[in-house]
Amino acid sequence: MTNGFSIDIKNLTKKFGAFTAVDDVSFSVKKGEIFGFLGPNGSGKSTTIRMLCGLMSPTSGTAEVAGFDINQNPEQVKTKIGYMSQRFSLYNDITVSQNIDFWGTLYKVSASDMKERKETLIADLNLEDWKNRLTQTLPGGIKQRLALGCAMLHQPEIIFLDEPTGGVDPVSRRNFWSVIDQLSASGTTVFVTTHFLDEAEYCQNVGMIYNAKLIALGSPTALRENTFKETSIELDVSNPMEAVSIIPDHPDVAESSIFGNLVHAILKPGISWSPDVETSFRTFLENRHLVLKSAEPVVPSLEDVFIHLIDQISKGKA
Amino acid sequence: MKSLNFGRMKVVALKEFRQIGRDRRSLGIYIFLPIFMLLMFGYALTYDVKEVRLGILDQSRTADSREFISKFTETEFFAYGMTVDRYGDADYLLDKRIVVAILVIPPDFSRKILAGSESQVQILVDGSNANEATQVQSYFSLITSQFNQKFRMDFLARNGQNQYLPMDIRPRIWYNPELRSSRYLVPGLIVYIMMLLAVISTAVSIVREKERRTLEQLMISPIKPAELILGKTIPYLIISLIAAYGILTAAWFLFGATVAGSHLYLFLIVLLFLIGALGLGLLISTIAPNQSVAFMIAAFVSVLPTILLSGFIFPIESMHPFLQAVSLVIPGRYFLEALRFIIIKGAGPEAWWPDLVGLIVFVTIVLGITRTKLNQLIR
Repeated sequence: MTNGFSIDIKNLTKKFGAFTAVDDVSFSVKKGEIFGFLGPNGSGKSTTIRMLCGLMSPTSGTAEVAGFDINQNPEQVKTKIGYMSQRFSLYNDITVSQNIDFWGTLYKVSASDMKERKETLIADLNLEDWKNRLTQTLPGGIKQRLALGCAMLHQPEIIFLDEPTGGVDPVSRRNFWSVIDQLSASGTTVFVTTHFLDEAEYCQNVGMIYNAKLIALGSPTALRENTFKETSIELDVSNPMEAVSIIPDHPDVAESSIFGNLVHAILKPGISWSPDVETSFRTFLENRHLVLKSAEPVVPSLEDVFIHLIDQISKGKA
Repeated sequence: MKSLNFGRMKVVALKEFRQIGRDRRSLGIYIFLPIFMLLMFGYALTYDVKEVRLGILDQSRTADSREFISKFTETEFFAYGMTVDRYGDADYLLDKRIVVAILVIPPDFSRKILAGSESQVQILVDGSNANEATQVQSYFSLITSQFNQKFRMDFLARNGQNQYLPMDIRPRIWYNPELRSSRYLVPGLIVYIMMLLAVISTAVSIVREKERRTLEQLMISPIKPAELILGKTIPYLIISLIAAYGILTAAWFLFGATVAGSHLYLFLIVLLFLIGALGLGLLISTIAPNQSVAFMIAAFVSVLPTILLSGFIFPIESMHPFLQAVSLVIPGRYFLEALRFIIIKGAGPEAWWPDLVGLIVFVTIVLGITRTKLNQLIR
């Protein structure tokens, strides 16, 4: 780890015949970071992960994972990473305890470490009563935590999570993310793909891939700010129907729209939300016999960002 | 290639055994199928014709005719079925299969033979089972000619002439003196079960990992492909060996069939064939997208040709020349022939070396293709 990066990808490209699955992708992930890799199905997410895990060699370009080149040392890479896929990939037809032993042995965890880690894992997941039962009898959320535990038995530097929360209930999803936070806090790099864009908010940095190309990279906040230059405000006004037609007359407003009982206003470029602007809105409405109950800037979701970026790409093509 | 990690191989094999033990359906296939087949082929599906119910229409009713009849009923091939009163009943009795054959002795039987002229006896046979009918016919001819011989010699003796036979036939059947089909079937059964166990279960078990995505998880782990493949196939190798020796033991216990030849050669031939069969299973698993397709392909390329073309049930020599040519590419054929040489005849390599060559070619080709396919899959 010469440069402090856990994953350092340079011009990674994978072609299957005439089809380009991953097109000249470059980015890096810092040690201990939670990195979200987002994109619709078939966009090149899985192919990228497979190359990073040493399952597939790139057509061109390279990547360093945990300090090892994926082209030259794929076997070394494998010992430094953990992987958990979207579908539960432990053996359902052997017991919980047998599964833990199986994966531990594959990663050559020493017997003494194994004993301790197994006990910790079973205690953490409250599986004492379940350890001799078939794995298929576990509830979904616990199974997923167990799969993560098994993928972490060898204490990898990087854990790759491929759609880890698919098919899991919302409460378990939230619990799962708190486990991911703990992993990151203890120094493990987490590389996670998801199509739940709300989950990407938990990530320190995200990369968005679309049609094999990386279309955005950065922290969720930076992405929002860079994508939407204009500030959007949500106003709770006494008479929204009347307000929506009046508000565009305010000098700072570019346009307005009704949004349920609320009014959304997009400010002119370069103007951001401040107490002064809020006062000017209140006075503006009071002069027209309307009461401003509350006003706050709307935070665009990452989904908004993603859709906006894709729109721009398709407009660019047209 | 760096050295293989035995611990990883062992843990994969152990896991495989646990899964097999958990899976009642496959456990049933591995344990009960060989036993069931052995009983079925040994007892129910025997080709031996025995105790054929014989109806007797004795119109002569003399000491000679009764002696002639007793020559039939005292063998184990025929059993006394019933006495038939009228020739007209024959149709009904054979039709309803109350008897399988009817021996008809004409009224002038005694008179004619004593007068030194020829008497005609008749046997009516239900020909719906061609194999049975042929055998009844040949037993009939055999018993009749023995009777003729004895009668002629007695006749000559009574007339003060020398007892003299120009030729005395003393048939002596080698290797399988009791002419028991069960003994002949044991090698075929081993071939069949080996194909079934090794090819189908290997193919299905690997495709199952593909389907449940555990294979992906395995590939990402540092396990080497060779460790994974050996770990996954060794359990099936062991189970197949147990099944093969189970068949031999059961055949000895039930039918008294023993291995005439060298146990070492037997083991080596079985092992060689199994390696090829496991490789074939692996090869199928690289092609098949899911378990049911894997099962179909495996059954189609392994079990079916083994039953039809290896000589297990239909002798290769009596096949159409085209099918004989096709049978040359059926590995079961070589395995079966070698097994029959070793188990039944007790023959050494000088007898079955062409089969050994056939098997080595099969194993080399299968492992070669499998290796290429697996490499494509991994990288």
